[in-house]
Amino acid sequence: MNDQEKEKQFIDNVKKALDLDAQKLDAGTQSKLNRIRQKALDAGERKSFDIRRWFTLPVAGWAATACLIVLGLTLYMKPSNGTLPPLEDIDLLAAEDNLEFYDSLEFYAWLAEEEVDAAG
Amino acid sequence: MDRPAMDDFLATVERKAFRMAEFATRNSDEALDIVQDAMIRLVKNYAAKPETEWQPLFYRILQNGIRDWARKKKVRDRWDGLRNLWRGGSEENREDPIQTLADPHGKHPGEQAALKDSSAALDTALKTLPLRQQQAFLLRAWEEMSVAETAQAMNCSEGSVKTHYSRALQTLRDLLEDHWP
Repeated sequence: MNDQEKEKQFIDNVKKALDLDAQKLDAGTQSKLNRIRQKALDAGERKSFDIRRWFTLPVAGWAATACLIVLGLTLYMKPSNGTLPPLEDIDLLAAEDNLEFYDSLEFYAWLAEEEVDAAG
Repeated sequence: MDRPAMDDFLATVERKAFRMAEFATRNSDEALDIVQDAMIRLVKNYAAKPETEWQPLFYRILQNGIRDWARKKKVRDRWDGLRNLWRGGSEENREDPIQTLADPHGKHPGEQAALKDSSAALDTALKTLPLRQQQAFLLRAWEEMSVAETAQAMNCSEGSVKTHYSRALQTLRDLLEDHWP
């Protein structure tokens, strides 16, 4: 047997002895290893839950903001209950001539009646 | 996280990991703490990685943990030594530093009995190795990692791994020649 073969044989022996040794761990140590393994797995699940929570918080925030925008646009675009849409009200208020017309509306109504009577 | 897969993986490596940490610390409680820390770090930080990467990552974390432990122990021991000196321990009470040195041939009288059994002899011999040699030998010979994987786990160059491994192998062969010539 040359030195390389001897070395390989030696390593095989060491490996077998170490494997046997690891298999023969006492029950107390084995039980502790089981416990720390479960503890590590639980810690991992707690962390992934935390990540999900931190990830979902901004998503919920964006969803709420989007809902508010949609609600605001809907209310703005909805026609009012009156006969005139809001933009026409603004147009009316902005035109001074038209306001004078509405102030003298009763006079124009009387004038129209007088003209009908005179014709009749 | 795929809990059953991670559970299976940790179950397959936990005994070896514990023994590796125990060889280094010579204390089962310290070894359990190091293994637990390595498991938690792997699960928390790398569970999403492909399963094929778990083994090298786990051993890298474990070896880092063992090295950190050794570093802290060195500092603690130094402070303990200084404190004892400060308290003025007499020459008679002070431990003889020569007695605390590991016998490179493992023939200390207290170890003679243990050497009767090859497994106990291996245990004793591994504990006499310097930490880096011990890590390189266990990862290469027991965990059957390649030189590159061992270098990654030990956070050193491949050349260092080869040197540590070859020195460890030579020392172990010398110490255990009565059992495995």
